[in-house]
Amino acid sequence: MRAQTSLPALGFALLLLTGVLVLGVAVADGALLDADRAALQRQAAVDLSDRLVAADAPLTERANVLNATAVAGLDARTLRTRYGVPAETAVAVALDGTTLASAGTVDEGTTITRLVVVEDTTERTLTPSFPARNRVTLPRRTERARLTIRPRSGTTVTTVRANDRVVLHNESGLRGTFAVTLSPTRTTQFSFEASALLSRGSVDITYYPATTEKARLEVTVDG
Amino acid sequence: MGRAQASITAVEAALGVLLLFGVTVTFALGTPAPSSEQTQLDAYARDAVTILATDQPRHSGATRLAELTASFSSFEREKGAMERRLDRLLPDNVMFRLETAHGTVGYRLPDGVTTGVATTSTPTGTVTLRVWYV
Repeated sequence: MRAQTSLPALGFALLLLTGVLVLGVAVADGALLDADRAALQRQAAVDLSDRLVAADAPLTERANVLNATAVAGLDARTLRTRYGVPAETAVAVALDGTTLASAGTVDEGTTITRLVVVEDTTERTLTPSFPARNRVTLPRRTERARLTIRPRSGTTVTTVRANDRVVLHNESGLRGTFAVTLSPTRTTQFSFEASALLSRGSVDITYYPATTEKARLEVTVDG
Repeated sequence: MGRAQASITAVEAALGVLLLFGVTVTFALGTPAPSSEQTQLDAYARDAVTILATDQPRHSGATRLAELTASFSSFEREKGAMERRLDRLLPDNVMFRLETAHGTVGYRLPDGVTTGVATTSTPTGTVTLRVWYV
């Protein structure tokens, strides 16, 4: 008699417990899945950003120094093929808030911000006036330069040295435009071996110093 | 008598529900929230040190960081410029402290904040950068 009266209550209790158990397992599963996904997304974003700013990456000059021209060429296809972003993952790469490239649709995702420097080269021309010696120091470092040599008649320039390294030599006299390769890690001093002191306008030097600008590279991964 | 029995079942069920509910809440709240702060700060520190390490020198040193670590007098000379450089380089909501053998540049490190750390070596000494959110 006593057992019979408690049977509906027992059934109801079991039902309730089962219900709560199912609910609990579902919530726990969801929470773990979310945690996993966020961690994986973050890891993917960090990995991709590491590869984008690596020293030997196609976009960079040195570690964390992006080449402005190369950066402009980044697109969704490059992200998928060269950087191996899987087809089901959406990624967006932005520089200072401007999207450079995105593959797929990014809704939320995880963003990692990297500090980078964007390097661009400008062209500058120097016309030295040679006040005392046939010698001139470039104000900025450059990896190449173009020299236009047109000495006054009667004067011949036979040798051009860059930091004591002979870059141009002609016994009968140099005249015209010459491209020379220089060391980008040293300040360059040109010295000219000529039959007389050169006048202003005898030599024009066009060089290509790098201008750098800091920027933020934002990599967002979703899914 | 019958009432007492039914209520025990109810109490047992209630206790069971409470237990399972507790477990659920633990899962919902207790899963370690992935700390994206740490990852981001480490990335900031690493990037800033990498950029500084390749910065061209202001005087005759090998790099800007090498000038900072070269001697006490060059540290004193470069300190202000380095602080401005880091200030501009790092986002506005990030504070920094750069440690060298000759002294530190930047702000005092508060207690109990999440910091990102990066270390690099120069020909003349080691430099450690710590960054944290304001």
